[in-house]
Amino acid sequence: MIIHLIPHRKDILRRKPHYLSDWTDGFKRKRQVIPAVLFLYFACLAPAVSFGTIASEITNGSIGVVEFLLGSGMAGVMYSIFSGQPMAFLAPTGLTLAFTSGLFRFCSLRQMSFFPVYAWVGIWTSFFMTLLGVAGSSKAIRYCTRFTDEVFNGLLSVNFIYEAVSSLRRNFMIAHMNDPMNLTMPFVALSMALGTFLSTMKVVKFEATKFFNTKIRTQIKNFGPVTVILTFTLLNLLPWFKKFHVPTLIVPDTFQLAGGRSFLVGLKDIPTNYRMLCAFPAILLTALFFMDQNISVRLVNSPDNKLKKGPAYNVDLVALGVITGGEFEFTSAHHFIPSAFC
Amino acid sequence: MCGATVQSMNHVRAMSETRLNPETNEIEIERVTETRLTGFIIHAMLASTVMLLPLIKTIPIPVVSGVFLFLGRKLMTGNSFLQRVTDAFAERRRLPDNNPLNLLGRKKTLIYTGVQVLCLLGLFGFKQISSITIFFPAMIGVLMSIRAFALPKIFSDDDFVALGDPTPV
Repeated sequence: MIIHLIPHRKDILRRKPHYLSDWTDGFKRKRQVIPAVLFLYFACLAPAVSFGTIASEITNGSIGVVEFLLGSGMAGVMYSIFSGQPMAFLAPTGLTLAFTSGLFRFCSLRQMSFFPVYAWVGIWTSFFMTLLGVAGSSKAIRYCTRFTDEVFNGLLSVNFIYEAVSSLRRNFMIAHMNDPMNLTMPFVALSMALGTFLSTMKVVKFEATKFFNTKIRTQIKNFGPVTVILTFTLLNLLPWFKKFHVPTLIVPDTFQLAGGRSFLVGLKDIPTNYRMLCAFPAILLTALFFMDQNISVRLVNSPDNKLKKGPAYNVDLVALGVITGGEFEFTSAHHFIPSAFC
Repeated sequence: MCGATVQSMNHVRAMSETRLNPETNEIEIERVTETRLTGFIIHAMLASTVMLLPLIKTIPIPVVSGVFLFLGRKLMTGNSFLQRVTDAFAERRRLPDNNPLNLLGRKKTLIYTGVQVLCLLGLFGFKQISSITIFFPAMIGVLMSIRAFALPKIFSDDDFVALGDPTPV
């Protein structure tokens, strides 16, 4: 059996008996799945769209919202099928975004075309990640103890809050430039953000209150977050609210890639030695993915969460590596699509 | 794209059946529905969103900011480092016996927490300076070596256990 030749067979053997139930369990508990899907759709949509917007700003529109939606959507679907721990989700993070912007700046300084470099960094990263996974390197992550985990985790929390605050702050800056005496829009926006935040906090904690009965409380906790988001969105569509001109998400009108560029990027557009040199930034990106990936999955597998089916770190890593490479889909001869793999 | 802590943890939370423990008055996880179905549907929906762009356009940016605040805040609960930051202002008598503040004393706990706060600030600063962010992973290595080489000079193995951070063997 080929399975005994690979070092992380334990991972596979541990998860294999659960694979069927991984799917059927979801169908058995529709009452939990439906609200979770609705809320997490927004929880995944919000970062994808806003990171996509930021990425489009820093890369002069080279990568945008559509790439981020397609990229994270397809990667997530693949990951849900092939990963070892499907409770973890893939998503663009602020750190990989920072990496992409660094790479973009480097390319424009050197007057190199960005996409072939980006594609080659992706290919190398995919290769390194798969290698790390096959070699069973996830064991090494245990030297990264709770000390580092928690600082890293804290950084991610702070980052999310920082993004929100700076977006709200930007409204004030813009309004102040236009007419310092009229700050209605930024304040409406601020109360909208706080309203969304506080009511979402309230509804998820509703289970611990004394109101109604257990069944209704659970329903409010489950469907609450989506209802809050939809309510505030609908509120903003009302004519008397519309006059405040609260900014809405900026996405292209129709399905097209940022800058209207074509799907295909020539991998041969850069000389061979540059293709090899792309391995260096790929090492950094691999390090970033390795840390971020393993810390996330470790938090999911933490005993506090009482998960029963067991971890499979190396399978996760291989899946991620292959998906990163697989993001260059629709291969045609020597042309690939780099979706936003970061 | 890689494993994202915030979304993953929110997924686990959304799939867990919780129960209010009447004794401690805290919400406890009873069991979690571990399934691939949710991830599959959510991400399929996410990819299909490119067909619904006109609808996405109606979502106000402040609502997204609100969701960000919620996701960030939600991730903070359960982070014992951030818990220790607030506990630093707490009265010792009001904290449970197994709190590091009661086990190690205020000074040692504060040193450990303080080092973590400095690390957090360092990482955040590093991330803000766009010309060097590309070397961010190296900073994680710095953090690991602070924990592996510098901190053991002040803290014993028992101290680390009390802080919930046992040294790996």
